[in-house]
Amino acid sequence: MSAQLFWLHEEVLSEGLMQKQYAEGCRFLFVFDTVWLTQRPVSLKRVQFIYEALLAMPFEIEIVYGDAAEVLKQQVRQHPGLMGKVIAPKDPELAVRVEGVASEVGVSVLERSRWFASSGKKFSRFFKFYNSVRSEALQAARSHKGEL
Amino acid sequence: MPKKFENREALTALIAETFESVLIEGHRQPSPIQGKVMSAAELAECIQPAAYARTRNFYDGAVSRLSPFVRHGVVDRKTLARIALAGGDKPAEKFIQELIWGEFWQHIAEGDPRGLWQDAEPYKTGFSARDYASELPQDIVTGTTPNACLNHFIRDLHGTGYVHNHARMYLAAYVVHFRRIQWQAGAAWFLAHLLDGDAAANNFSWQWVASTFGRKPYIFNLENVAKYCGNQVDCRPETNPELNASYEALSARLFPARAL
Repeated sequence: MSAQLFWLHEEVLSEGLMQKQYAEGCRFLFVFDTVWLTQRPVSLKRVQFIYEALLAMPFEIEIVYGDAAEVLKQQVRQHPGLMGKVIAPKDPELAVRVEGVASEVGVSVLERSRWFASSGKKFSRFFKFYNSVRSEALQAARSHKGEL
Repeated sequence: MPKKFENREALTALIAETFESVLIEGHRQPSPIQGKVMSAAELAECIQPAAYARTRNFYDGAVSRLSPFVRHGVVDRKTLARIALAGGDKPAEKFIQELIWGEFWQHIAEGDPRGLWQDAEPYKTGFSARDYASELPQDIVTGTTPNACLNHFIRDLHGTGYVHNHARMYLAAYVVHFRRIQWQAGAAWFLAHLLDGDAAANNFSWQWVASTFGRKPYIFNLENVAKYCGNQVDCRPETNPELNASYEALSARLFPARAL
């Protein structure tokens, strides 16, 4: 069976998600991506918060600082036949970066889970959106088994 | 990168050195809010839906302060909604509405990713986009504006990476309307510092305050800050001279063309 790698990014530091991926035989990699951090600069506080959350996870996570594309290419070279996967980010600009790297390196992009399905209708004012999704959101929350 | 550190300061030192070329200038202190995994019991302790509904607009109100954990996927909004609903639908309503605001901003950003940094609509202030400066002035980025309450909120932003939502609105309105700076400059400033900095919620909220994603500009006065923050923050008129006015007087001063 090929080695499996789950590429974590700053939106998916979920113990529950990692539990699921671990059960599927994945090991974990988090890249502090210099290309993304240059595009969207942050203070030390944010980096430290993420680092601490990674250290608190009950899984072995390889933490790397560098260009995510280069880091992942190196992983592929070191582990021929590697099957990598990553969850699509919500942030449209981070999604462009992650999906670009995934495509370049051959990592599968998985759809992120959502609280409730979108009706496909476009809303530009909150209360119209809220009234449209409220019932489904409550129902989904009540039946959520999730991480608890 | 290493996983074992003698103490928190050792991790801070490693980050300051390794990330030097990509971090924003200055601000090399960590937040008192620590990244961690939270148990269901810990999460439940942070969520008080009934008190949240009554007091959320107050600086010391019963807000969960879980937004940095939601932002990084440590916990998801659906899980928080489930916890809130344990005490009944009615008390949970405001808290869940707030969670759904996050989903709404995501819905907007997915529908129009360009709106993350471009005006969604024209300003409704009587000014055009070119009337607004593109960079934050020094007194704002150093927290030395003429107004003590705003400097307090800026210290929160820089020191902790967390600012109460009402204070975020005050700061955004001050930057855009009192100082006539483009909302994009303020949004980037917040995104760099906030532990929960999420481009969709942050940037569209700035646009809402600015009036480029809403029907009218949001403004505030000192009386409003004193009502919601007065027991924690210096709201004396003599230390907040730019804000001490009625809404009518402020509207006339800030939006002279709109008032005509």
